[in-house]
Amino acid sequence: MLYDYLLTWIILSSLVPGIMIFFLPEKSVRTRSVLNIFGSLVKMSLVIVLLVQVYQGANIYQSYELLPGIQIELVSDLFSLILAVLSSILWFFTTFYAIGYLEHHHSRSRFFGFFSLVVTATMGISFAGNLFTFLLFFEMLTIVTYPLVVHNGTQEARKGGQVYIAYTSLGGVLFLTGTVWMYVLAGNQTFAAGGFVAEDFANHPMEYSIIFIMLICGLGVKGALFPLHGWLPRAMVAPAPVSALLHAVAVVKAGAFGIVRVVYDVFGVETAQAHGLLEILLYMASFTVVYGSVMALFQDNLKKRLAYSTVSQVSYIMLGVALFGPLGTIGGVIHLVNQGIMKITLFFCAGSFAETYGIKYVSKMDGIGKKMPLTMLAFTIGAFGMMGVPPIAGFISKWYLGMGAVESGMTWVIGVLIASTLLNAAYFLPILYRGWFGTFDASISKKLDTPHETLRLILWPTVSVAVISLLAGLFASLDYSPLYFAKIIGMLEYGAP
Amino acid sequence: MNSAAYLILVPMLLAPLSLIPGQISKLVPSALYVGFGGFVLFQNVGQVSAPEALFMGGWDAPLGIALKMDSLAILFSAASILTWALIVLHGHVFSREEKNPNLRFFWPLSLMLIGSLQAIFFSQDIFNLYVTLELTTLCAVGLLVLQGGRTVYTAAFNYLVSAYVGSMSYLMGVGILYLEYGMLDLVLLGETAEAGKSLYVALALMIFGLAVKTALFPFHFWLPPAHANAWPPVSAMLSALVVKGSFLIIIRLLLGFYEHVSWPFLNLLGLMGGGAILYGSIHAIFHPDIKGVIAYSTVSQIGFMFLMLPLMDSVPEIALLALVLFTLAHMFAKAGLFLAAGNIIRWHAGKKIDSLKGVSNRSMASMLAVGLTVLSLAGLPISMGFAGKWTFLQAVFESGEWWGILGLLSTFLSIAYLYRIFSAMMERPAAENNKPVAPPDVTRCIAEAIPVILGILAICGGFAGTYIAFVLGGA
Repeated sequence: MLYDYLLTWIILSSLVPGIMIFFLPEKSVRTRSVLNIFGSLVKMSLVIVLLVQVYQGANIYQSYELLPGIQIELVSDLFSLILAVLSSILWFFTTFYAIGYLEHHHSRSRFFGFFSLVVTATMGISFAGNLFTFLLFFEMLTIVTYPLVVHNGTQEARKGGQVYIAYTSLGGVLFLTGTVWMYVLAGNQTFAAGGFVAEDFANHPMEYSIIFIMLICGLGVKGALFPLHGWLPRAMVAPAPVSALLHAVAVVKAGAFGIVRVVYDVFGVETAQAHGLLEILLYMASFTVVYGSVMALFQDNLKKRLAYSTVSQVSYIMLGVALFGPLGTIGGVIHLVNQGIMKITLFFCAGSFAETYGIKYVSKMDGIGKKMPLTMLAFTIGAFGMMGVPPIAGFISKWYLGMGAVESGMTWVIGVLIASTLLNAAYFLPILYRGWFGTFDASISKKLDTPHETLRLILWPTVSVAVISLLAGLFASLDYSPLYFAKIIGMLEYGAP
Repeated sequence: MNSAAYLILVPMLLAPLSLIPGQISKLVPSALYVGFGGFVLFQNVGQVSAPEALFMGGWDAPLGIALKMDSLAILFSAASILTWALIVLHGHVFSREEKNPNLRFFWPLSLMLIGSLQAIFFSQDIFNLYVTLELTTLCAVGLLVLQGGRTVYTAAFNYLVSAYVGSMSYLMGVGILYLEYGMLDLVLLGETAEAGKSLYVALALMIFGLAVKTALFPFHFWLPPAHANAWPPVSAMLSALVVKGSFLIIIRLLLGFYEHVSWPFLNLLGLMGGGAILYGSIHAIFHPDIKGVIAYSTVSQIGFMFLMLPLMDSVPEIALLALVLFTLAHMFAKAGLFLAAGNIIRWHAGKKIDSLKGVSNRSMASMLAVGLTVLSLAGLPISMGFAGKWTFLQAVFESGEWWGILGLLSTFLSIAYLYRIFSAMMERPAAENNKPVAPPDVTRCIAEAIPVILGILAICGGFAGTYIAFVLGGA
């Protein structure tokens, strides 16, 4: 019973607390926090149970027929596991962080209700076993993140939310159309390693190519591919925990994850390569990598700089997918994990600076390292990771991406990687320099009443995720590390022994 | 007598009882009917594969009046009684703070209304349909004028006149068919009628009349003022239930005369539907009032239902499923949204969209109700409206009728106007919003819970797609 419906339980473990939280009175902070933490603990344990089950060879699968011939399918393959593990761990830390961060904010029941629904949608996306199920949860994600983006309730928040809805509904409709068309044309939509349209592709090359582009563009809106990324910097009006979750595991990651699914499990990487579709993705991704980094250089607002950095970094995932060859695949898949951990660290820090001293701009960050050394240290780890400095997680990604580029004979991609690394350094190092070596402006006073550098509920999650991103790099070669799974995926997709 | 007749007659007989003064005598007849109706439908839903026909008065067709319990009728009947029950319960608690003495007619009129709607759903006889249509209109207008006031009387007059024109047109069509074939039974007519000038003229007249009654663009002008200005539970009833009656007759006519109706006819209806989507949506996007937006959204959504009709030609089964899903989703969601709007206007904000600021902070239930119903109306997953939209797109791609892609335009437009309501609620509370937060008493709790229940129905109905397809397949 437990094992048969395990995937449903995992989804319910955040849906049920979410719904309960909606109906809690604003003042019952304790009940709400207990529900939140309990939910995330249950989810983490269930995900661990799932891992053990899958390791023992169990095939955990569920389906429900929603419309004639249209199934909701939940599966637990390697891709699902990677995203599920990542998001359940990061949700756990973000829950604590959010409880601390929102201590003095308004409408917290609303916030935490939707917060749990976001994680529900993310879990659904990771377990989705066919395009239809993916679409359901993907759209659900759009809807439940909207109230979080506009949570502050200001005019600016409303405008940001409007841009967000405009972009994502465009993407959603494209993706919906592509999915229906695909279903009618192929008569099937269940994800399968090697793709399920591989054989049928030659019969309708034109139609399938259009569908591919529709799906990629639909997903690219969330994955912030240029020129569909415009909403991301605007959505920065959201509270920090939301931005962190949005960038690390939820919206942006869902887009990237979807592209991974479409290339590997819908079309099949070999079919996509043979018909020149991967090339389109490669050019889009390469351009976005450089574009995002260049734009980040010019942002003074710290969160916006991080947002453009996400635009660039998430395209590494697409880049890895588009490089035909197992090493590129490993690079892309591992970056799915690494980018999540490092980006959440950076956003936690940014939120912490803003909440503790009201510092939102890079130009105001002089000397913050002396006041908040641990937070600044975490930021430094995250930033060095993004640049690809060993032994932090980001180095592993870049290493495999570079090898993938060589393997597939696309040496110009190495140029893209180097350019992006230099640009990363150019927009991160000044922050670090200011933070550690600048002089703190004495007129800025602490907004929070705490003897520590910041609230402990904000500080410890930040430090923990920084440590995780260090560990993910240091112990990458161990069995059962994210890299281990990425390697298996790489081997499976290319049929290598 | 068969059970369909009970479903129609019982509420008519119960209606006078609800005029007895007192809270209990108002609610008991409705409650009795809901229990009874649920029982009857539950008994019959198992037998969908063998529709049961009844010939009233012992006369066989073509002379007698046939009532038939087929799957389409059972689905619409069950959904309408459920929605109606929730609306009436809401009306019951909502009326407590009202001083308006006319409201005592709300209960008998709504009982008559649901009875005559059941007659529409179950009738197989085109003249009997005319009678029930008239009865529905009279009840609807009666409900509308309960609110009182000059705007409402003007709206009611326009409603009455347009409905009358529609009925006359329909009746003329019926007359032509009767003169030509000497029969009124829909099934028999469908079997015997031959394509020809008289059939086309008759069908055109009937469908024109029904389109006016369903408020299809450009005959929609009477709908927005009526629906936007009625007493909130009445708005819900008009928008969610009444327009579905005449629309179901159109579906029945198309199914009955399936072999004789050719594509230009259907495409014209689809084209008008497209016009309705554009016209209704654009008005909804710019309308300053909450209920005005919702009323124009009904115009647009009705347009979408008509837009699906041309697909009945090439892929009838999927198209019918899409139609049923979409129409039922609209029933639940629109009822919920109008009731939620009524609650919000009474307890939390003003009539204007701009006054909605901070409602989500004041009432979580209202926010959830609006959120859930809006999801379904915009056709976003996971909801019944989405199931309808998905099936519609599937029909479009399977039939190769590429114009159907334009239906996606309606998704954008509906997101645009529904977004206005929801996003306004999410803003910071306006300082001038001084409505005191009344202590949540039982009355208000029930009134705020009912739209949430309707919203949940509009969402969960999406999971019943396979069952509905199965029930329809048995027809």
